[in-house]
Amino acid sequence: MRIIIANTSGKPIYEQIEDQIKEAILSDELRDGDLLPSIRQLANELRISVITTTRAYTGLEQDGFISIVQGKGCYVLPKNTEFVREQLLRKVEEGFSTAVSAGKTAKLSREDLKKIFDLLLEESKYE
Amino acid sequence: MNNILKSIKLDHDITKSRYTMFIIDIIGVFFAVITKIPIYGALIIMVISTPLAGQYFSVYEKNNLEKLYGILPLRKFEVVTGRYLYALCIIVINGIIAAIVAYSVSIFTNKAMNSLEFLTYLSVGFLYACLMVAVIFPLYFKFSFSKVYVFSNLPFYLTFVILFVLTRKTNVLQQTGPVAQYLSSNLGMIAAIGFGLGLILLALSCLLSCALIEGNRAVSLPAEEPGKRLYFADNLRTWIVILVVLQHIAALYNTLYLFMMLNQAYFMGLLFLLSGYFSPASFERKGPGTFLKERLLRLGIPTLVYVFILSPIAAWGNHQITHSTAGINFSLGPMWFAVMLLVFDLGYMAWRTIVKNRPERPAAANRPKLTFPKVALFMLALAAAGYLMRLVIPYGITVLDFPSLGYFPQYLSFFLIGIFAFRCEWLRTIPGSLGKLGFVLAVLATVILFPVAVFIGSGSAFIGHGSWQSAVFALWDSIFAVGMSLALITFFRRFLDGGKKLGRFLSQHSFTVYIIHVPVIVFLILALLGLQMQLLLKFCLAAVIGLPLCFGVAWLIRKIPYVEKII
Amino acid sequence: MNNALEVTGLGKEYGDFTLKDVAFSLPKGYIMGFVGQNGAGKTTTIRLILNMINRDGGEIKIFGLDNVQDEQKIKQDIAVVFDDIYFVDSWKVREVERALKGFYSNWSSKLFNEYASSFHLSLDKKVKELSRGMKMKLMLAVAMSHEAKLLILDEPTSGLDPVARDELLEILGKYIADGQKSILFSTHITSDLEKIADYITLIDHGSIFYSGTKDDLLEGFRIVRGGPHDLTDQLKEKIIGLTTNIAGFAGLLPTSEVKHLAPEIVTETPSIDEILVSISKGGRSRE
Repeated sequence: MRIIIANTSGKPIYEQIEDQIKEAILSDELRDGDLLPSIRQLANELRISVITTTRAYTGLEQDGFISIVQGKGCYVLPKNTEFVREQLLRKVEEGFSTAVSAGKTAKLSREDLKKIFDLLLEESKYE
Repeated sequence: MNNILKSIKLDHDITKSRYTMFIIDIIGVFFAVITKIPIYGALIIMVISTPLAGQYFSVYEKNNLEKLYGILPLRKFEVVTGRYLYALCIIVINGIIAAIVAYSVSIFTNKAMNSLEFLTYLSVGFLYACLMVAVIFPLYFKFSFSKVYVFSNLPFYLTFVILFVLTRKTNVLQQTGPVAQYLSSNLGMIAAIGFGLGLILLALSCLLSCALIEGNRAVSLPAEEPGKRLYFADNLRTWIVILVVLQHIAALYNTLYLFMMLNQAYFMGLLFLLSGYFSPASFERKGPGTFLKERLLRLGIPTLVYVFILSPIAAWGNHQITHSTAGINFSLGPMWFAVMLLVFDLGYMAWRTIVKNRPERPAAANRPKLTFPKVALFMLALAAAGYLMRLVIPYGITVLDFPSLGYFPQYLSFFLIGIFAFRCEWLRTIPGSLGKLGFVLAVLATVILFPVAVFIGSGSAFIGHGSWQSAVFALWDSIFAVGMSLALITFFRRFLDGGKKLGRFLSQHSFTVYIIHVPVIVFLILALLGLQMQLLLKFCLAAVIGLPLCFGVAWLIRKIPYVEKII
Repeated sequence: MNNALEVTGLGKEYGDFTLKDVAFSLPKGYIMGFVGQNGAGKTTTIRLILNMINRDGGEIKIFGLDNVQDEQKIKQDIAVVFDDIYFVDSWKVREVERALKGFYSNWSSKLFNEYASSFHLSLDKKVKELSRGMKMKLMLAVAMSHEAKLLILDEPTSGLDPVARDELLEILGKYIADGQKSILFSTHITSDLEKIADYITLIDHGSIFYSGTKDDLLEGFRIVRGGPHDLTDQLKEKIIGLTTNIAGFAGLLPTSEVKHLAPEIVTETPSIDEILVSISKGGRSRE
């Protein structure tokens, strides 16, 4: 598992941890049932406050990514497909809206836009 | 106990780097060999014990050991006691070295040495070493070693040298009259006194150091609820009543004068203080009318009962003992206290009615604290007042059936202090260290001032009439009264505060005992008249029987209907 | 009993300095950084906690027990590291252990020897021969050899180089890993705390400016900078530790106030140091 804290990024540390673990889960680097380092272990390893790691893990638990079991540890939950689907849909939307506003600026027509889209689908062998 | 031993071991660990200083014992050896008198060497070695023991404080200061002691799980008194015991060990070790040196030198110089004489000199050396430790150690505890060690050690060395030279040159010991004669033929006793006194000095100094180290800790009883009954105050009153009974037994047997004088100096004053403490609350709870009525009932009726019923009975019993033939006479007896207290309470009531505003009890942070300077000032003022009072009414002279008007300033001021103590919560909050200080001062005053006042000059100069002895005596009894009061209050508060059944029974009946004890003990003594026994033993017997007897009679009396309502 | 240390309403008066109404709590299993400039009252507070001096008012509870009444029992489970060594300088390291172990029922000589060897403390070296960093490690080894549940460090890193300081933080991190032990770390070198502290208590001129989680502290304030014209009177009222020069102004502002600011004003997350400096320049007490 790869967690790297950027001290000067301006983003709160607990958010950085949350995001990176989410990424790892979404990209299947971390699978359902995997044991995460304990809150204290992680804090010690990263040399940060226990409260920060607690906050990150609690956030992840609230979003349904992990489950914290007293006495046993923190486990990755099966990907909540609805939630994941939503996240991914959101990513698709974001990608599209970026493309649309770029197209507007370049004054492309609807046809041109759709052509680029079809080309991409071809190239990536989208089923 | 275990911790004290650990503290001593730690002292040893700390000081051991300086043990090479034991080398200076050589000075003693040197001296003994040069003068061919082994005893001198022994004395010097003993005196050297103090700087050896004091080395601890030097290491302590150099290494910031206060932080070490701040961390260790040791109570402060364990640390202090351990230190004194460690010093005692050093003194004892030096004593053994001194003995070895002395005997070796005596063998070496072929001068036989009287063992008893040697032991006596050793005890003097021991006493001197203990005296040095007793005086110097509290200074070391309070101030840092480097600032204090020169000017605190130097006077003792100088004094030792001077005394030494004097006794050698002038053979003073042979010349101070009957006291010295007696002493020099009772060497064993001197030795015992020397060792015993030395130990007592160390104990007193230990107490003083504990008090100094504790500082002004703001003390409050574990559960400081405003409504909690001060059981220790009740127990203290019981104790004083017991002392009163013992006092009267001793008076009837004409014995234990010292005990009586010591008691007299403080116990009635303390009783006034405790009564004064409880008056304001009583007044505020009941209002002036009820307060007046209740006081008249509780103090007035028993007085009348005593004067008209009990005192003639006691007087008749007394006549049987002393075979005198005076007629029926009434006397106030111990109820003079009730009368004076009634007057004080009425005065307090009058004051409160005139000064209409209700004095609020100040909040905790604003209460004036009882600090040592204030106490010392009060002692001096009280001594002055006592001295002046005794210009007119000397000690021990009875006026209008009041046996101790010479103490009137004390009684009045202690009553007023009791009221103050209530307002400022002093009984609950005076630090234990103040009590210890009070005790140490009381003992020191008794050892120093009391003999000076009573034994120097004509035997009765101390009772008054403006003599200097009466001034010293007044100073003694003020210090003793205040010191013992502080000590007893803190002692009872610390150890005798529980509301146990026996304690409560005794304190419920203590006032009744006070009222009825005189006829009871008179008749007891009458009954024991036939017994042939040493006076002191008779006193003990009378005490052992008399006290329970008084409480038993008091219990019976309180069983009479209506009596319980009054007393 | 959830708090390793609970201080309420603590007060102490000296002639020229007063500690007033000091209150904070350290929950079990966490590290609290106790920061303030020199003379702010950190050492006095610690001495009061250890009952080395008498307090004038307030309460101090350690493991739920009163620090004066149960002093002896508590001190079995407390360990302290000061900035200055407090052992006799002629003692050898092994003598330090021998002198102290009798006092603690939980002392483990095995642990002590393990720590000594992992810290490279030679048992036969005399205390006075140790370097500053080694002295600190010795105090630490002693502190950790009796399973102390509360470790108090009073300026342990002053005079240490960054490497030694880093080593200390690592040791402390491991010590606290089981969640049963708590640490109170008093220092004016705040960079040490930026990383590992869970809670921060900030003391300034004898009063507590802030006590709470480090995250909340850092999120609760912002450093604001702007041009001279951006400094409105309203802003002047609210800003803490204002400094001005010809190029503009800078200061500390509670985050809640930031939304009222003009957009040209630059805001950034402060470091603990910056907060400390700002409040000592002209702090009002907050929370």
